[in-house]
Amino acid sequence: MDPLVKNQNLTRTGAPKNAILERAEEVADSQVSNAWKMFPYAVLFLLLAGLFSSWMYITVVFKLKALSIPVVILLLIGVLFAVSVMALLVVFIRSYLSVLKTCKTLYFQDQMFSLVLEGGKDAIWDWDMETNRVYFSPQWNDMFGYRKTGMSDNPADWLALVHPDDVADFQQSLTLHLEKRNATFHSEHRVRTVSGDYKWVLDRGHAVWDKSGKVLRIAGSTSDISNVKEVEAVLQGKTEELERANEVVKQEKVKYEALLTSIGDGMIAVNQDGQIMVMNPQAGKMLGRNVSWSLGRFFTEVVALEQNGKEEPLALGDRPMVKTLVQGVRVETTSYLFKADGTKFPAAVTSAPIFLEERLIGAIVVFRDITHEKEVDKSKTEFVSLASHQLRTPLSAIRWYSEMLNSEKLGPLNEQQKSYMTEIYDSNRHMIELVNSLLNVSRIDLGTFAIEPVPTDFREIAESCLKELFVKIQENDMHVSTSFEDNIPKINADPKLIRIIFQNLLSNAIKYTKKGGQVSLSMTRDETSLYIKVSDTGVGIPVSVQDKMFTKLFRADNARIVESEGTGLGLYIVKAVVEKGGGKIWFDSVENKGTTFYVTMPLSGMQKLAGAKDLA
Amino acid sequence: MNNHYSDKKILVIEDDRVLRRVIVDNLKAEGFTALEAEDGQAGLTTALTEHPDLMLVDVVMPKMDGIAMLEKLREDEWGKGATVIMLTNLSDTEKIAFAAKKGVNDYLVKADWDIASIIDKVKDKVRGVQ
Repeated sequence: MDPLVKNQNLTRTGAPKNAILERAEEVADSQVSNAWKMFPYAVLFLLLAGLFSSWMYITVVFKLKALSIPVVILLLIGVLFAVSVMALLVVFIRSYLSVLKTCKTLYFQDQMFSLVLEGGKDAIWDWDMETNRVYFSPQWNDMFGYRKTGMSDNPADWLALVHPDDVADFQQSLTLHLEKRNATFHSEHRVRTVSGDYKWVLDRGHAVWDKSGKVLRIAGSTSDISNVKEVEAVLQGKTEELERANEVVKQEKVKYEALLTSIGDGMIAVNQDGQIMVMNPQAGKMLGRNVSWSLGRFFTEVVALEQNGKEEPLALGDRPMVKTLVQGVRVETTSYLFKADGTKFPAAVTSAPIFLEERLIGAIVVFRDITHEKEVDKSKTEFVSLASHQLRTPLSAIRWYSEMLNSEKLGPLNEQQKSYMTEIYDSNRHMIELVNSLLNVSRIDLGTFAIEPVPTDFREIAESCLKELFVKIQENDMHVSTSFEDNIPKINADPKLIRIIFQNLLSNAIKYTKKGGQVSLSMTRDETSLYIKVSDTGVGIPVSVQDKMFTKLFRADNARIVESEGTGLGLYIVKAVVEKGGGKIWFDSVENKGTTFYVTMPLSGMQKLAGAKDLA
Repeated sequence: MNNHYSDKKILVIEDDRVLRRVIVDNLKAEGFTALEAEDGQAGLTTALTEHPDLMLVDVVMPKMDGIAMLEKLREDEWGKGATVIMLTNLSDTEKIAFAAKKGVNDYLVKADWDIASIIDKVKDKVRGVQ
């Protein structure tokens, strides 16, 4: 087997072409060295043959005795002859071997070149400047579809195939190399195929110059880089796509950062373990913490302590962020957050869960400093307190002076005077009630009203309220009936609040029931609750406004007609008081037939509420 | 004129002249000996010298308010047991709690009471009815 055949694959896959030459030389060298190994034996054989034939000739033909002078001379002549023949033989063998070696080398080189031309992917071209003709390898013809027709060897035809947009660059690269300004010719351009399409190729070449610098030829290769260009185009597309996406992300990031930076509220996002993932600068500022220091730390380390609205420490499980992470719920609360320096500030805190495909992955805690709101609240309360004192003092004076005149202790009044004084007294009472109601509403709204539970006899309060309404009951000729279950215990409740409930429900029943109507009050109980029922046969509540009855300042039209002086605050206050006390209130009503209010209160009583103010 | 209460001295400590007048006039009309003071400081001085049977004390007053006056009063040997009705138009829980601690005998919101009822309260207290 030809040793080259073994190496064909190697060559086609791009092994150095010197490998073939080296192998060819190796084969030739082994032939020569085998020949030289035989040479000493040949010399010895020829010398012995010359000596033997000379001696035989002398002794047989001339019959001379051995080692006589003529014999020696003849022997020397024989040896000289043999040496001459031998020298000639050596020269012949050496020449033969040299020719053999050269032939072998040429043969291998030719084989190698054919392999390169036939087997390589790249096409070869060779432009002879002296003849101005170009040789294109078969691969070149294949590459562009000229296998059948054969490519013209005119360089102008070659140039005509280059894409018009690439011609200038192609020519410039060529010129730069031919003028020796670039070490090699290198050009990426498109070449038109037979079918009219263009193919991206890479041409690389090298020129040969004569001593005067004249270009003799330039030869090189053409590589099909269409695939590379396609990949490049795809990559370019992808790169642009990525850049656009990146730009969108950047813009989103800028927007999000602007949003986080500009909002006045502190915002912290934590992962499911409670570690801080995002924190806006405002949060850092409010908590006195460095944002980059805080990132990755536990929320509970950065905000070490929280207190509830009453400034009592919050247990870990009650902290809004922890509640959200544990229970997956949104928490809105007011609490005190502690800063890095140990001081605290009141904050409205909202903690909301973050879900990803229904899986809880973290929480966002947003907090707002409400120091100012607290201050405003405080001033509001103070204002209400001041106003209550300021208004009630002159109202007290009017009440007491008109009462004195009315009592006629200072002298009798005629009927008209007495009637006018009564109007003054009643209007003043109404104004006092209005002020009291307004104070109560503001305390309810501010959440500052107090509940001071003591064992309270509900029946006693109810009867006392009825007693206060006795004059009105008589004036209107009302029939009032009461029914109290016997075993109603004293309930732990705030008597002032219970009084507010009875006063409002009973006075409403009497106010909105026509003369001769009926009002009934009953109290019953079961295992857990006390039930209060106040019924009347009054004007009733129209169905259309029944859902507004507990709304602040609301008054039904039919009620306005009957009683012009109502405030629209009574039921609002009663509902707030009942609910704060753990009870419920509702009603049944039929217009022009009557109304029944129901109140339930837990027998377990009201919870103490340490507000700053009593309801008046 | 009913002189049943003529030996009973009632001290009215109230900064509002109009209110003070109507209370004093009513007390006098019922036969009480009525003393008056227009601030806590003057009220305390009068109380400690006159030892009234009962004091009607306003809460919000200049110089010394009713709560401060009560505190001082309770420091005095006689003052410890003096009968005091706070008359106010505030309904401040903390103040009521303080007043209760200092043994106030009653705490009335002026606007919610008729003058006749207040005088009745005074009568009950001086008669020893709780």
